[in-house]
Amino acid sequence: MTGMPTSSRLTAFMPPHVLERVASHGNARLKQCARNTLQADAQFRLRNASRPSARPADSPRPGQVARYIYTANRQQTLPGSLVREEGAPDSGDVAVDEAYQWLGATYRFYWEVFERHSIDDEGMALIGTVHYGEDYDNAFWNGAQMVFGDGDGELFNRFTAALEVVAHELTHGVIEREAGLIYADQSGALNESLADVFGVMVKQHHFEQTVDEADWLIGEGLLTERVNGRALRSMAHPGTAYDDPVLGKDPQPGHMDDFVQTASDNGGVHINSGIPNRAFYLAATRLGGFAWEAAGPVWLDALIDARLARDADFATFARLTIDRATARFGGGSEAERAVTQAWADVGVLP
Amino acid sequence: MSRADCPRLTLGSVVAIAREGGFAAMPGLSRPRRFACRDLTEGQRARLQALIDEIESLGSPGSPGGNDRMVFRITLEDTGETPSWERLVDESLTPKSLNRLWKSGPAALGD
Repeated sequence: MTGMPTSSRLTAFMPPHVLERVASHGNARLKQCARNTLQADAQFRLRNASRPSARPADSPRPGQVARYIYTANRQQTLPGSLVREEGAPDSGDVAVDEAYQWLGATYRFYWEVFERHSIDDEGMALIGTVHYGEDYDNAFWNGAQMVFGDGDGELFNRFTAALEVVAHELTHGVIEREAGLIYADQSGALNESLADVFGVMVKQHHFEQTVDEADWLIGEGLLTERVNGRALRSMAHPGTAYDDPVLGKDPQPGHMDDFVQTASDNGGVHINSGIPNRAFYLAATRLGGFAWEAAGPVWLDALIDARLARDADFATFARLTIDRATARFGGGSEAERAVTQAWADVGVLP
Repeated sequence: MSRADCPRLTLGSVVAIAREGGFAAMPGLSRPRRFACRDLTEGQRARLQALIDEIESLGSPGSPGGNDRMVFRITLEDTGETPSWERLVDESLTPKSLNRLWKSGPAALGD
């Protein structure tokens, strides 16, 4: 981890991204040690993820979503108890029904815009657990499913309240399967940014908003009235989403000049994501119309491009988007110019 | 790691606990706490030592994987502010006593 002390007493917890780098760049002995540890780590993850035999059925055909919503009943056991599955009527539980509705909207976006059949493009069942933990202020993707807390009620509302939050978590699954971007430093911030980019596009697609009509906010509605803030992140103006006595000030930069060096949060993956977030916003607004018509496909093309390395930095991804804009819309096209200018405006490319 | 290898708290030790990450990774949610052993009673120090031992006994279980998970960072400073021992513990593997200590401060250590 960035900034992690190197004393031998400090190394018992070795994050996977560090091991992966050692496995690819270390000397022969270190490479073998790292590979062995990664193998053990993978076995650990398999034990903790849902076993394939325990997973509910995937979608039977392209274009049809397969949703399963569980409740953890304020415990932290996954997936919990099944409450609503595909085709079942409203449960009467707001969080369950929001998760069901927003997972459907996210599936529909990926299918209608990109003809992508769920997370793995092979119809993977969408599993969501709500009411996770007590007063739990978080939502996450655990490698097998999405998980949503109810919020503490003081600072946060339930995390299913915002469509883009649900879409963000589902998109982590897409990123994991397509690019496997290492969750640390710039590749980690890129991972977070891509989850925000597609999360916000799902929201705009569902509410049929043009780039000028959209608010470009992530987590709008999650903060209670007690908090001085509009959302958790602003893609249009990173660093302006909130400024609150309890939660602090939004630390996101919107330009490489303000890139934050930190060991915390895997190297600031939720902070520096503001830079590529703003690049997407700039490209999309320059192109106008709906974000998923030009900028969106370019970003997805880059995400699924085999040349995107797991430890890609911002500049690598930026060059890939320009390359894919050229391939899709032609050299010298408006799309290519808009994408190129966007990355220059945030200081990622000259 | 044997018990003998576990860090032992002294009167000069400072234990720092902070939470990181999560979808809502906001500065105010980190709520860093510092526990100076000099300011704790003998009983409180013993309970803090037991927590350090418990964290150490977790070994290196690896990461549960996924994204937007929250992590606790526990740091021991013996002299100055340079960490002599540090662990990252995924929220799903966190001992309840650590969570209580982070939420409630020294009161969670009893008298």
